[in-house]
Amino acid sequence: CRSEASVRLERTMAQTYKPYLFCVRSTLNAALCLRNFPSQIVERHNKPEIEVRGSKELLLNPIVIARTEQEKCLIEGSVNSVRVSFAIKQADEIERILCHKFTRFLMQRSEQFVIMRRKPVEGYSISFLITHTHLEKMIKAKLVDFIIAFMEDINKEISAMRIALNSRARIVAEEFLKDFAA
Amino acid sequence: AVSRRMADLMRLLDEAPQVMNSKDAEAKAAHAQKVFAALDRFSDKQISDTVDSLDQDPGDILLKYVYRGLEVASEKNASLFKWQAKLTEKFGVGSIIRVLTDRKTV
Repeated sequence: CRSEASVRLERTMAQTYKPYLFCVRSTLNAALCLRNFPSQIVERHNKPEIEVRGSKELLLNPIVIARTEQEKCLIEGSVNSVRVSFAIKQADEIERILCHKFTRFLMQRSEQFVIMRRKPVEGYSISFLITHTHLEKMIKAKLVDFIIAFMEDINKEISAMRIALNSRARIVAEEFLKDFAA
Repeated sequence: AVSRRMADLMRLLDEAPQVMNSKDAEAKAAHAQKVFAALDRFSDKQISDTVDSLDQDPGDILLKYVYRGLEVASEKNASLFKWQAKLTEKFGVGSIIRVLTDRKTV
């Protein structure tokens, strides 16, 4: 029945997933070369240049890595900060609702995640903002590992939630309709 | 002897700097399409040998085109990921940083 087919589909999709994640990982590794850079516009201020976007010379070329139409990653770099945004695969209405609720839950607790942005960039499901201060406190390799593992887990979670939802719905419908049968 | 498709690719990469220095978006798009067509003629198994035979500068330019290709989702992206992986393996993190920082975009 459908849920087993979707599980099998997810397993095959996971194999094409790895090159995409590897590409994101190596690009992120390169983009995360940050240094402290006080604001050129306001004295004594230190702001993430990728958010302020005051001076064009401090911004790097943005890179988009698209696995499918819906699933892509935007990496915008600057001299002292990087913004990484992911668009999560949302195959149908149910997944769209689940993704929206799940990311909302995470983004409301973005302080706990430190590097997460409270609002995703336009057109994407979730965004991270990493500044030089984060890199001073945390090991860059582990930070990149965290982001990649995080994206893998989000996809697994949403798939698992959808499968659980569908099986529960089927059981409930069966029980309910038993009253009308025979 | 260099294969025909290798020679075509090298020629396109040599012509690339002119396109990169200009600001004509249409010329850049047209040249990019030619590069993608040239890349299509390589099978996935040939990627490794092709990248090994490239020098630093054409390799950097090719990586820029690979990233441009990855912006739009298509079936070719699977092989573009392989190109990116092989190019990064050969030329290192620096080539990706050059993609990010070079003002003369592809």
